[in-house]
Amino acid sequence: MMPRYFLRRLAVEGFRGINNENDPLDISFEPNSVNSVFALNGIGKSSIFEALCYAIHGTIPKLQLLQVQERPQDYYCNRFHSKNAASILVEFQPDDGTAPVSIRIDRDAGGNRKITSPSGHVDPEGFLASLKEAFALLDYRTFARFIEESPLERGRTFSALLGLAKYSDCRQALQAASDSRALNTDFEINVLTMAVGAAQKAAQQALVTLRTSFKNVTGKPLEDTDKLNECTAEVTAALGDVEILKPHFTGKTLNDIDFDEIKTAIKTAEGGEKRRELEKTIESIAALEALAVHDLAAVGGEHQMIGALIAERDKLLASTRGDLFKRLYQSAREVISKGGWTDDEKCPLCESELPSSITGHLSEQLAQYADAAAKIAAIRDTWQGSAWQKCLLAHETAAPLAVDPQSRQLSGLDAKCTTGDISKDDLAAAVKWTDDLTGKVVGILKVAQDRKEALEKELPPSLVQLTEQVEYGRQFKEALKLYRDNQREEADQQARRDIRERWKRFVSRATTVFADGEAALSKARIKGIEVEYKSIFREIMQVGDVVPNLRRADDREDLHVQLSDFHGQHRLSARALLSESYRNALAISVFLAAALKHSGAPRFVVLDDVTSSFDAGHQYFLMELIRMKLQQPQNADGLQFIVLSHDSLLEKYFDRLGGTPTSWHHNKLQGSPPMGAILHQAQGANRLKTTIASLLSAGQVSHAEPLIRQYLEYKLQQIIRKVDIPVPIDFAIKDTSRMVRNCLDAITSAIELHKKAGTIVLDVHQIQDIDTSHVPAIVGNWVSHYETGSGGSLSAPALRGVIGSIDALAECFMYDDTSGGSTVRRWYKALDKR
Amino acid sequence: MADFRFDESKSFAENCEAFLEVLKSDDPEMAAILRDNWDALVAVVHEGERDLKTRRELNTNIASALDALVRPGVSKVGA
Repeated sequence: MMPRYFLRRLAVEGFRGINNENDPLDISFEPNSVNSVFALNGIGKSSIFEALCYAIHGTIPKLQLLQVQERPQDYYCNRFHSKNAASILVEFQPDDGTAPVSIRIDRDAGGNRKITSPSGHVDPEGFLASLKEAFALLDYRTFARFIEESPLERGRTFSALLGLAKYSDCRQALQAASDSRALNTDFEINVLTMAVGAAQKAAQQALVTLRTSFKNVTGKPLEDTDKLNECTAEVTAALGDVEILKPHFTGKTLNDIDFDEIKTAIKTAEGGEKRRELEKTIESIAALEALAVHDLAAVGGEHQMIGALIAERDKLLASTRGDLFKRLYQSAREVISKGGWTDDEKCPLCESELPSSITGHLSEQLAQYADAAAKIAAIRDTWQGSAWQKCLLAHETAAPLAVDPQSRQLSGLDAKCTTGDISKDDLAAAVKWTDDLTGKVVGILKVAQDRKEALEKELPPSLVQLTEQVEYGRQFKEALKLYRDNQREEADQQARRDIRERWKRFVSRATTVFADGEAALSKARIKGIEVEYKSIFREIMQVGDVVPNLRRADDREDLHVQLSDFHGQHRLSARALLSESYRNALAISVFLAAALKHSGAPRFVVLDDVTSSFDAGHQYFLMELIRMKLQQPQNADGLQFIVLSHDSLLEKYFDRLGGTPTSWHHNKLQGSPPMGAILHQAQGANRLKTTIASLLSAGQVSHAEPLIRQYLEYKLQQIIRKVDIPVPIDFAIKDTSRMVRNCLDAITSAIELHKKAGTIVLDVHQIQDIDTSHVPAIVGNWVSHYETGSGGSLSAPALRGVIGSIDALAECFMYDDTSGGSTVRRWYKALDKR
Repeated sequence: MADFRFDESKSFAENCEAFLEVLKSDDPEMAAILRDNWDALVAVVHEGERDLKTRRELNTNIASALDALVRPGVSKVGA
C-alpha cells in the first residue's frame, strides 16, 4: 500500500504577506497532534494557507479571481522583499515510517515556478500533484460554495472529495466523445451522405445510357440490372458476329475491345467526311439524350430553396452589426470566460453599470451571428447536395451545346454558394443561365436527329447501321464502367458512414455503462460516509432533530442537499432552511467525513478560518470533535489536523491545550507584515531578544520598541499560561494595545489573592522582587510611556533594563526541583502549588 | 451488455481496464478501437475542463481506425 503523508514543516519567505527576508517563517507541525496556528488579523495566517495552496496547486484561488488587467501575477511574491522572489519549503512525513520528503517551491520575479526536492525525491512535481486532493486544504469559502453551488457544481466538487474526480473527468470525456452533434461534425457525416447520394445519381445516369445503348446494339430492352454480365456478353456477341468486326472481337472481353480502332477500320473501309459527321452526330444525340436524366422540376425547386435561404440570411445579417462588432463580442466573451472580467452587470469597456447581464447580452448578439452562419452553411449544404449543380455541370460540359469555357458559370457559382456569399442577383443570373442552357437542348437535339436522318440516307445503309452499332457499343462499355465505379463508390462511402453510425451507437452505450457505474460508486461512497457526516453534524451543532441528507441524482452528477428531518418535517431543502452556521457545519461534516474515508496521498487537513460563523460553543464542539475523534492516533484511521484561526476566543482554547499532554500543538504568530518579519512564539522569543539587543546597541530605539512590546507580551502570557493564572473572560479581546498592562494586572491580582488566602507558594524574596522591583520597573519604564502614550521615548539602557526585568519576573515563578536527584529549574504548577 | 459496476477495492486504472473488457461483449471491434484510443479520450477532460482540440484529434483517429476496418488496404492516420 502506498504511504500517506502528514505535513511536518512549512518554511516561507517572500510570499504574499510574509516578507521574512533571509529569515523564513518556519513552522513545524506534529503528525500526532491537532496543530493550531493563531494570528490576529493581518499577521499572515492567510498567507500560510495560500503558501500551501500555491505549493500544491500552483495557484491561489483569490488571485485567480482577479481580472487580467489587475495583474494577479504581481501579487504572489511579497512586494517588500528586495528580490521580489518567494520560496516555500514543505516537509512531509510518510505514515509508514520511511524518510520524510521535503519539496522546495521557488517563484522568481518573472513568475516562474521551480520545484526541487532537498530530500532527493525523484519526481517532486509528481509528488505535489499526488497531494491535490479536494479535502486537504479547506477554507470557509469552500464550505460556503458547497451549499450555495448548483447541484451539478456541487456534484462535481463532491466527486473530487469522494476520490472520484478521475471517474467524473472520464465520464465527461466519454460524454464529449459521444456527443452526436460533435461526432457528426468530426466524422463529416454530411459529407459522406452527400458522397453516397452523388454516387447513386451518377450510377443512375450511367444506367440510362446503358439501357439506351444496349437496346440500340441488341434490339432488346435491358430489363435486369443484376444480369449486367450477361448483357455485356450479348453486346459483345452482337457486334462480334458482324464479319467486318470479327477480328476486333474474337477472343476479347468488352473491356479489351478498342472501339476507336474499330471506327478507324470502318472509316478505312468506306472513307469520307460524311461518315465522320454521322459518328459525331450520333455521339451528340447520345450526349443530348443523356441530359434528359436531369429533373428540371427538381432543379427549379432547388432554385427556390436557395433563394429563400439567401433572403433569410440577408435578414439575419441585417440584424447584426457587422464583422467588427462580431470580433468585439467574441473578444469580450473570451475575456469573461477566462476570468478577465467578473462583474456581470458592468460594461468591461466603459465600466458603467448595465441594466442586465453582460454575458446574456453577448450570448444574444453572438447568437444572431451564429444564426446567420447557420443559414450560410445551409446554403452551402443545399448547393453541394443539389441536382442543379450536377445538371449545370453536365450542360456546360456537354459537347453538343458548345459552351465556351470562358463563359461557363458553374465554377464561380460554386465558389459563391460554398462561401455563402451568393446574392439574390447572382442567383437570378445563375438561374437564367441554367434555363438558357437547358432550353437549348431540345432544339439542338432536333437538328442533330434531322441531320442523322439525312446522313443515313446519303451513306450506304449497311455501314451506316454498323457505325451506329459500334458507337452504341462504345457507349455501353463506358457507361458500364461508370455504373460499376459509382456502385463501388456508393458502397464504400455507405460502409464508411455505417461504421461511423455503429461507433456512435457503441460509444453512446459505453458512456451509459460508465455513467451508471460511476453513479453506483458515488452512491456507495455517499452511503459509506452517511453515518459519519450525520454524526459529525450532530456533535458540532448538538441537535438531533435536524438531520442532513445527501442525495445523488440517478442519471446525472447532481448532488442535492436535503434535510431528512427538520424538527419532525421531512425531505426539505437544506439551502432554504439552514442558517449560515448550520450550513457551515453541514459542509464541514460532509468534507471531514469524506476526508476520513479518503485514501489519497495527503493524510492531513488544513482548515483555514472555517469557524467564522460559529459561536464559541460550536467552535468548542468542533475542536473537541477533531481532538478526540478525528485526529490520529486517537482515531487509528484519522488524519492530522491543522487549524488556522484569527479568533481570539478560539485562541484561548488553543492556548489552554497547547503543550499539554492532550495532543495539541499550538503556534501563535506575531510580527509586522507585510514589510517586517512574522515569527511564531517558539521561533520568535529568542530571536526577538537578540534582535532587540542589536537594535538597542545600534541606538535604533524606535525600531526596537515594537519588538520589545512583542517580547513583553510573550513572556507575560507565558507566565499566565504556565502558572495557570486566571484572567478575565474578555482578556483576549480587550484592547490589545493594553495587553502588557492587562497581563500585569492579572498576575499581580492573582498573587495578591493567594497572599491574602495564605496559599502562595512563591518564596518571600520572589514576592518581594515582583512587588518592589520587577513590576514597578516594567510599569515605570514601559507601560506608562508606550501604552498610554503619555511620555516620550526612553533611552536604550532603560529599555535594556525592561528586558532584564521581564526575564527576572519570569524567573520569580520558577523553582529548583531536586526531587529527581539532580537540580532542574521548573515552573510552579500554580501560585499555590509546585 | 452485462450489468457493469466499478469495484471499490480497485484503482481507477484497474476499473477502467475492467470497463474496457466488459465492452468487448457489446462490440469487440469497437471496444478494441476505444481501448487503442483510451489515453487520448481520458485527456479530453482534465479537472472538469473540456479540451475541444483533443476531442477533435481523438475523433479523427477513431474515424481513421473505422476506415481501416472497412477499407483494410488503407493505413490508419499516423500508422
